[in-house]
Amino acid sequence: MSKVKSFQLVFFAMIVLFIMFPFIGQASSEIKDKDKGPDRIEITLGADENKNEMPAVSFMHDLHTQAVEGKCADCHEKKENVFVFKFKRIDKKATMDFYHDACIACHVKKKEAKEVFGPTAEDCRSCHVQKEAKGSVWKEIAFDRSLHFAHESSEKIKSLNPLEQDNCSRCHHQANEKTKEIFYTKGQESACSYCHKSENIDEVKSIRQASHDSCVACHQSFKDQKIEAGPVACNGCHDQEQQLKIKKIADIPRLKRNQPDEVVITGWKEGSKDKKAYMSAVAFNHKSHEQSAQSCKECHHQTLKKCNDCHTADGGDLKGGFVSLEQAMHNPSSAQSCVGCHKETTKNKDCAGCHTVVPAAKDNSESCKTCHSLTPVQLETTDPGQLAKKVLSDLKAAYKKVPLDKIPEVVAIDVLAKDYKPSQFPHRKVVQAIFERVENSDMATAFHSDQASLCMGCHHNSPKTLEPPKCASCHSKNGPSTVSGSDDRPGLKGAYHGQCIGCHQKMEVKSVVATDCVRCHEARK
Amino acid sequence: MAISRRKFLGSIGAAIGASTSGALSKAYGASNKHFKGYPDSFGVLHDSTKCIGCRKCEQACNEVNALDKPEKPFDDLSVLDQKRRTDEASYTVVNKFKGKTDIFVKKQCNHCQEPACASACFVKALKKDKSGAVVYDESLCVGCRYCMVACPFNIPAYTYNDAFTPKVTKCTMCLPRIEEGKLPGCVDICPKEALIFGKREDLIKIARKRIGKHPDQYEEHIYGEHEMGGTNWLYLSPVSFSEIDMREDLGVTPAPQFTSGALGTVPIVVGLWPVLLTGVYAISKRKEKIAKEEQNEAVAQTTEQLTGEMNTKLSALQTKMTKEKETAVKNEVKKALDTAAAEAAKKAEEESLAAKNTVDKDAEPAADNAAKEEE
Repeated sequence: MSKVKSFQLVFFAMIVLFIMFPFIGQASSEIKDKDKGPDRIEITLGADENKNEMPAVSFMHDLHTQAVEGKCADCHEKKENVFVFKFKRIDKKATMDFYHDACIACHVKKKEAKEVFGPTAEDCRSCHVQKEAKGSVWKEIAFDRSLHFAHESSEKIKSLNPLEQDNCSRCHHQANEKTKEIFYTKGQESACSYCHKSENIDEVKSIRQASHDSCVACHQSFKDQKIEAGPVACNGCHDQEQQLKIKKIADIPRLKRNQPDEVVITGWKEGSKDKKAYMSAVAFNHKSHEQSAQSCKECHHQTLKKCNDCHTADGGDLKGGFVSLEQAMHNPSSAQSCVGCHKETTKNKDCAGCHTVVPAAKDNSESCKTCHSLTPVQLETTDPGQLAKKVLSDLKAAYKKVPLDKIPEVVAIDVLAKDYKPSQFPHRKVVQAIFERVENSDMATAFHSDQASLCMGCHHNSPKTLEPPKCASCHSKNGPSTVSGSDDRPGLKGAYHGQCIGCHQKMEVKSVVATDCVRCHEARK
Repeated sequence: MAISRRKFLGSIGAAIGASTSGALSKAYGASNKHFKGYPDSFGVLHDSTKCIGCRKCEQACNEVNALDKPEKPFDDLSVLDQKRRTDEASYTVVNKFKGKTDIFVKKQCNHCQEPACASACFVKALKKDKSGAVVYDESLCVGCRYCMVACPFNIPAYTYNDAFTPKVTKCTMCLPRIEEGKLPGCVDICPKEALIFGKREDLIKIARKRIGKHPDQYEEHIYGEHEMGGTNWLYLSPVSFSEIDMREDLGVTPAPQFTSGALGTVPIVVGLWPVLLTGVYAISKRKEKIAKEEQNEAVAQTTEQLTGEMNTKLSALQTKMTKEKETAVKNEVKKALDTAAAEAAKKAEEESLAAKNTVDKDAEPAADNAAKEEE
């Protein structure tokens, strides 16, 4: 009798369990967070997936670093006293047998030592698992100006030449094309990615391999000496959250490469005889642009040479990817072009109030002159650098202020007052706030050299004047016109609310909530 | 009854043809002609990049349509934290979506160019007006709520709280106001002109202009231009429409077109099949009758033929037998005559010897006897 009872009990318990956890097996098939880690390396030996091969091995590097207690030498061999970040080999090519032997040997050793061990020979599918790489938090690390300065200014990083003060030679190098030897020339440094591309090309390592071999090996050598250094584990550089923790240095001095402060960008090449046939040259403030770019690569995307070395003014050729100098400088959708980058800058909250709410008026012929200010004749007589410097300082000095008394203090907006009382618009306060934001930026003051042009953000489409017409002279009280052929001009109500609220939103003026009606116009009681 | 069978069938055929041809042409019409909506119909363009979620449109709608006041006042923006749909007390709702910045989207009847609700309504309580509005006639409604099931945008609501005269409720596009020359309530009040009213074609042009002018601020799509055959309410959005909870799986086919093919065949089935089946029945019946007649005829003919043959045979046999009999009789008579003659000759011989005169008298009766037997 008691036997029957216990059987019933067990049976009942099982049913309850099944109801509570109907799909016990399912949880394990989900991709764990661990697999999304930035340290996931796919070991594939170029196997053809269609040929019935086992899936590639998903190798979690940081897990193994922990297992060997950070001893790189357990898996990586040294060449000339520096670790080579290939698994247990230096120049040997990787093969399936090589990996099987070396991996499993270590796992077996761990097993025998009664430690936590990895899969052994019989557990093929523990390593060879088809895993989705989707959702990986791996992120490329940008070696920006801040990181560059941290390395450049580090006293621990010494130059290869003990006589030199700067430590540039520690990382930067060039390669002799014939002998394939690496050498360093002062003042010839450039970005790694100019030579180290995404794949290995002949003797030149891929950017991935080059940076691991240099950065990680160097960090590790410091760590071996118990000196604080940058990350050696994958997460340290490639985890999105970790990247945000890297300290950003403000006020970074200029790079020491003897780059010019001001340059003249010309369409013609030096020694050209028909200079007059080209567009006037541009005085370019190289120094201030360096400060706003995160790295040289933002403009000098392939080499550090002059723009017109590749992008010729005569229509473009193969060297410049068939992009002419004009396109390279003015393409509004390219991040490397002047216009493209400037246009992107107008999306900043300081500029967006005027630049995105109402699109800028069509370029006029005068607008070219802002940049193209140096005629070929001028350049023939004076040193280009000096001339550029003068033009740029003139531009800065040309910033013309509007006298305060010309700016109305309060403007009553009463044309539409119906449900609410007329709005008392603090005109001067708003104008001054806009002026302040503009004066923060050299670029903005250069391009809005007359403060009155800033008025034209709100008083748009009217010629530049300090006495612009009323809003109602263009925007109808009766609402927007939607008849065929209308120019989609808002009605007066839409224009007021669109301009005020749109600007407050774009310039992130959070003190006034868009839906707080009585904040601008009191309710009629 | 002075009507021939041919005339009767002919007139029935003509009647069926007339009743079904309408449905037939309609079904075909849907597939090869493209209805582009009523020309010059009105619409509203909702630019969600301009909407600030002030709920003034909801308030105006409530007042214009004299609806029940909601629990929370219209200036309480906490309502936006929940996703809402239209109901019997609110013909329009504004929903908030989290994006880079908050996106507000107004929801109400989209006034489809070829409305699913109207095609589902079998009493024509819902109709597409040539002004662009989809209008509802309460007096016709039977309360089946098929329109609520049919609407791909989940718009029509029902006054379940009204036990005796419940009705379907939805945005009217303020048709009464439009007819007075006023703007719809929501469009009129919108402070940001996030809603603009005009002819649908013009609004599409304006929407295109906006996308062209600010390509980075708009998703390059005008929602409602083609969705389910197009709607008179159009939308612009800064993000993809699925992100602001608007269905992108609807396709461009107007809802009525999905059913017109099947429904178009109903009159054919109802009108034509009884005739067809009756005809088939009649023909098969007639066939049977003819077969029977033919069979009878054949039997009669055969019988006749056989009888004729038999008679001929019989008569031939009779003649033959008669002949044989005659021959036999003749032979017998001849034999008898011969015998008699022989006897007579013998007798005569004997008698001639005895008495020559008596021989002639005896021979005559014997001849008479033979003739009698022959008959």
